[in-house]
Amino acid sequence: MVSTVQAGITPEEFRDIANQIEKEVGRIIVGQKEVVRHVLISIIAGGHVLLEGVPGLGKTVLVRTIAEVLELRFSRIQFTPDLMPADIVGTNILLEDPHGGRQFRFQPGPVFANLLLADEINRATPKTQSALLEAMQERTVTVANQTYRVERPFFVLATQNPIDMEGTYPLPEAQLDRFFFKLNVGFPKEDELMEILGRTTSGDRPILSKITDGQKILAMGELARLMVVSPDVQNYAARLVLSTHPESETAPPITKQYVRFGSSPRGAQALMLAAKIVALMDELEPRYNVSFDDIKAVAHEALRHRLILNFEGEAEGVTTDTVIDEILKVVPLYKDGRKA
Amino acid sequence: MPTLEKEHDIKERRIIDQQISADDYKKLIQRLKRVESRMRLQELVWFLPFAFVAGGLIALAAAIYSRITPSLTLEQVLVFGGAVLLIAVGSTIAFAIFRPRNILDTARRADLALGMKQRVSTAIEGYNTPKKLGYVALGERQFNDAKNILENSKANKALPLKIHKKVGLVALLLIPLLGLALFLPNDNASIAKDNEALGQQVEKEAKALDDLKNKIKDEAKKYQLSENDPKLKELLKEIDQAKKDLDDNKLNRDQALASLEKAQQELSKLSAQQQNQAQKAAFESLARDFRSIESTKPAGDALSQQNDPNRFDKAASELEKLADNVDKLKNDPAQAKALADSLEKNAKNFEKSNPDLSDKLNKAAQSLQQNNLQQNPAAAQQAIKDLAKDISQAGKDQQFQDQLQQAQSQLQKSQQAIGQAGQRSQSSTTSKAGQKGDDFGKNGDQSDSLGQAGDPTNGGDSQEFLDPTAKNGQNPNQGSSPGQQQGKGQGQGQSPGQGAGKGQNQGQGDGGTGDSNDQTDAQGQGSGSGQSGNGNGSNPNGSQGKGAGKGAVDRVYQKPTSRNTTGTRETVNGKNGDGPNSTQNINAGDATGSAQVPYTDVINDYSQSASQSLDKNYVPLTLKDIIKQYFDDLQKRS
Repeated sequence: MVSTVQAGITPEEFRDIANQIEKEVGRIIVGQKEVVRHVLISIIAGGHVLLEGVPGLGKTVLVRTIAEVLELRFSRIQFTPDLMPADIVGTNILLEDPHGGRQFRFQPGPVFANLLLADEINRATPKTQSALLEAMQERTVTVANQTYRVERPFFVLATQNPIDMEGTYPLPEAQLDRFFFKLNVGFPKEDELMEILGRTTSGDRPILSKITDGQKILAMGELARLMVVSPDVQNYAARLVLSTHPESETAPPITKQYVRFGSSPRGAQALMLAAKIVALMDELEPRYNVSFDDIKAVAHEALRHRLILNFEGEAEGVTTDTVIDEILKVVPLYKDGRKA
Repeated sequence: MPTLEKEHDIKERRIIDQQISADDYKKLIQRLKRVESRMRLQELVWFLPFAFVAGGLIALAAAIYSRITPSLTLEQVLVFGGAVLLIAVGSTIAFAIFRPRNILDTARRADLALGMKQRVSTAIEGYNTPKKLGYVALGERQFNDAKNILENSKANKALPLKIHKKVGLVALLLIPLLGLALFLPNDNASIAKDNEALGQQVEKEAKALDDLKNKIKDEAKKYQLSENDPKLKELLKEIDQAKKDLDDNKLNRDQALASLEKAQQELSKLSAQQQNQAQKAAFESLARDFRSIESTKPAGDALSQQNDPNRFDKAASELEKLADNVDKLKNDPAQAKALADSLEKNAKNFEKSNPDLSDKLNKAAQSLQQNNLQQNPAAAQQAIKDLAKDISQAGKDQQFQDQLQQAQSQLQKSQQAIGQAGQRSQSSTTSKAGQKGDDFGKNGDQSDSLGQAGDPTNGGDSQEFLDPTAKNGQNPNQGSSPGQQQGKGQGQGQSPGQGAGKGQNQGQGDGGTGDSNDQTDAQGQGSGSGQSGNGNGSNPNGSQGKGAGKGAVDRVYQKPTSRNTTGTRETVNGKNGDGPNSTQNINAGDATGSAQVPYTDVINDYSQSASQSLDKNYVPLTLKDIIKQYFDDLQKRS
């Protein structure tokens, strides 16, 4: 059993660090607080994030800013159709030594970083996209039968553009499932936009402080896993995930009508882990247990990319968020049917 | 491995116990119990209007049902509705107060109600099953967090006592609705009340018939009547059938009365009432005559014992002894002659009522004639024995007839009781005028005359009557009609104290409906039944007379009065007269007196009322035709 001492961080420190990171990122990123928070949650949980939004919303800036604040090694790959897997994972190159001898040496690709920004990930071919699969899941890279371990912490923050779909390759379900969260980056509000204009068109650019490092982030992740979850809450999370499956008995009508495939167990894991971090990060009501509200707070982010709509759903313009909203509405908090 | 796991569990338990004291846990539970009390109270307040509405709706349905069908009385609706309301409210209170609640369930509810984000339920589960929740690492912090937030929670504020507004409104609306449904005049409730009374009466009468049957059986044994006697069997069968019919038609007056009527008709086939009466009188005469003769005195004495059920057998036995000692009579011609004369005389008395016995008496008389007795004493002996046997048999027949009369009397009583059961409440709600019940058939003796109206007290003015032939004090049938007659008479008593008799007197006034705006018409209807009215009257010519009669007046004879008003019904019991009963024939003079109301003025109303009464009320079938004929005759004359 891991104690808080073993985790190397206390809940109070956790909250403090998380709070500071959010504030520091907020110095660059205007608005998008939810996105920032969810990216942070993902990072603490050790998961990857898929950011979806139209160009120019600051997705790349956000990732870069986080990398700066967290004192992590950052690399960026701009995905294009001609991008090759070797461009991501690296390749063996033939080197000639001074004695005229030749040997292959592995040249690590950009994937060997703590924070990898995979910009416009859906523009690369599936072959290239899949090059990320092993790194994302196993934290290893295999080149020419040689496996290389990716440094921890390792996070992939991928972005994709929901419009301008011509010449894109939608991410396969298996790869989508490997993303801890999928975040929709929305357009800023009027005041936020004005603030963006003020910040970005003036000469001053704030210098960001390093709040923490990768080790602390890992410790925060460890502490989050120690959070207490009652069986009721755990059961609620399980029932939510089950309700995304059209063949499930507990599935609401909307699921049965519009969903082809529901969330994988990995979705439930993401849901629970994220909820634990949400509970720990709660500044207004610091807690040491997970509540139903914590689960609800991350349900969309954890599940939306794990649901696959059927033709009818897509034809009628139903989104996975709509389905999740309905599921949250109809699934009772307790197994006996009691609601809030 | 299980051992290792167990050890691990124990270790975790120890850690938790070190981190969280049992006292702290108790305090948490106590605090939770206080929240639970508040929750129960909140629940009670919330659900009470629901309970009231549920109970009230059922009560309202019952009240409406009682208005649609005559099945429930007001009292029954009140009791039922009250009980339902009490049960609904009581069970809600009991449910809220005593419903067992698991402490973890309470914690869950408290978490939701007080916005504690599952802190308390997690703390309780974590404390009790630390391994399941991985409670060791952050358990202490979590528990203290839960304890603090529960202590700082304001349950009274977070759990306000509220009622469901819509349901509360419905509950408020129900109160006047219930009041209206219950207490607005309801004819069906009155009918239901009557039906209830009728049902009880029918039940009572069925029991009375059952008792009667048992009594008859007992008496049959006592009188040594054979149970296989066809007449007795028929009698018992009819009583049984009547009882069964009553049991089957508890709430149907017409059917019950029809059953009783049918039983009566069946019994009347078995009845030989007149012969029985005549036979009784003949036996009394025979007993007197036997007692006057020395040799038959024991038999006469035996016959005279009216209360002895075996008197006939004893008399027969005495006569057999006489037959065995016929030589005594042979040696005492004077006594034999006296006996022969007596037997001959009594044979005439039995001629109609019991021809067989009359024949035996005649034969015995002949055998006792001097010559016959001397020549053939054996024949005399045999004739006396035959006579004894017939007397014994006649006694049994008479006892059967007595039983039959009892049964008929019981059926008659049952008919009357059922016919009147439940009528009272209807009258009281619909009649106003007519408090004066006209009493016909007043005090008097048990004479056979029927239908002579009299005054409840001697010399009083009697009420109006309908008999067109009967004028004041001139009813030719007054007090002198043998047999059964129906008649109405009016006697203006001028000689107080004369000719009063004692008897059973029952007068029952039946308040009719009347128009309260018309005082002259508001006479009401009355019905009286009584026996043996005794009336005094004087005719205009100066002759005075006394009449004694037995009156029986049904409501159809009563004066119709104004309708559609309410009134009360009175029961007037006749009074016993002071003087002895006497009967005197009156030679009535010309009818020069005047009736109080010319019958032509009222005949139509009376006829209509009678017709309605015949339809509504029970009137024996045999009397219906008489009544109809009566009014038809009057109509023709007018």
